[in-house]
Amino acid sequence: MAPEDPSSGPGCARAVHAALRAGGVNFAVSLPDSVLHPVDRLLEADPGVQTLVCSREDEGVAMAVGAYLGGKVPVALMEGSGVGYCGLVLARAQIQRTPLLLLVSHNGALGEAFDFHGASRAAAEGVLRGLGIPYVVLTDRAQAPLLVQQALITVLGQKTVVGLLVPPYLFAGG
Amino acid sequence: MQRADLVSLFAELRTGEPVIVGPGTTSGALYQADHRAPTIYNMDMGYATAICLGLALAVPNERVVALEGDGSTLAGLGVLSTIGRYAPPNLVVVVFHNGVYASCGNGLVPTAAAATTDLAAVARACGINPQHVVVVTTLAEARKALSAALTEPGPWVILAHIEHPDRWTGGRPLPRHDLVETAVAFKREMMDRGYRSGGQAS
Repeated sequence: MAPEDPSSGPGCARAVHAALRAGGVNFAVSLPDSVLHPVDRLLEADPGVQTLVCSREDEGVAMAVGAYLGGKVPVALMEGSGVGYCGLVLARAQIQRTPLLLLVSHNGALGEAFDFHGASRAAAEGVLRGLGIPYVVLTDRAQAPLLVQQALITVLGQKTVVGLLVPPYLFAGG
Repeated sequence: MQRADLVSLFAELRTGEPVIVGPGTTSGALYQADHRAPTIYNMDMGYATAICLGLALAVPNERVVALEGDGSTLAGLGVLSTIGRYAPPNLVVVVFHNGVYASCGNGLVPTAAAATTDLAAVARACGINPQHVVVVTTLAEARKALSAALTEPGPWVILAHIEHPDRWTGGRPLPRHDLVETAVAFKREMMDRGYRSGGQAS
């Protein structure tokens, strides 16, 4: 089988998965989302990662907080709308010095074609900004694994939440 | 059954279980009864059980206990379906059910669980083993249920009906460790048990 093109959407998803694993992630909680689905599937297929589906995103963040207390390195994957539910529990996570990576679909500026994602766009970055949670948008497929790697260094080193926002095109195709 | 008596009973039966307590009086009551390091008090409304679920799934060899109120349980009701889905045998949820919003109101506003929402039925409908969804109204029943929940496979949901109002002397009890230090101490205790996340100091 030919190696996957790292500049393709599926190749980027695989590289992001590899960066998550290299950074120590071994617990993933998600509410399924079409943009992040390729990474979700790779995490689910990885026997080294405990993967769970939550009923709502704030519940998922709470589960991730608990997983960290139990020695895991968690990532929470959700649509931007889900971040909108998470203000209080993210604030608590920050106060408790919880290392947590958020992988979030939808962002303010890039690739948002549908009006029904308008609230998601506003909620995700609004909540992160409001709580002072650092975040970056993964704009470039080639750079995405490096940003995941560096974000996880900050997450663990500073015991903080960091958000990585994923535009719809990043993992698309294939 | 008074809240203070149920808290004292729990403190008596507790061994080394990590515990997360929801918002309100139960937090201060447990602190006063028996503070131990793997305890976080006054978790924000609706999240004590969800954090315990994540913790229980992460540490299957530890029994993990959430102490919640009925109002707080209603605020995070969806987690019961996630508990039903994954059914961690080491998770215990104890709902201090007084039927009112006591800590976030004046204690005069009933919760939906006071009359119309049957939390036990909800838990069962979410797929939690009906034999592990237990309603208790007396200390003797609570002792029996807690003893089982702390030793036998679950997940367990214990709905403990307590009296309202609480009968305290000297005002509502408060934890004398703040939430930052309890969270740090909780994590340190778990690290000492071998649950390390990696990084410089976690």
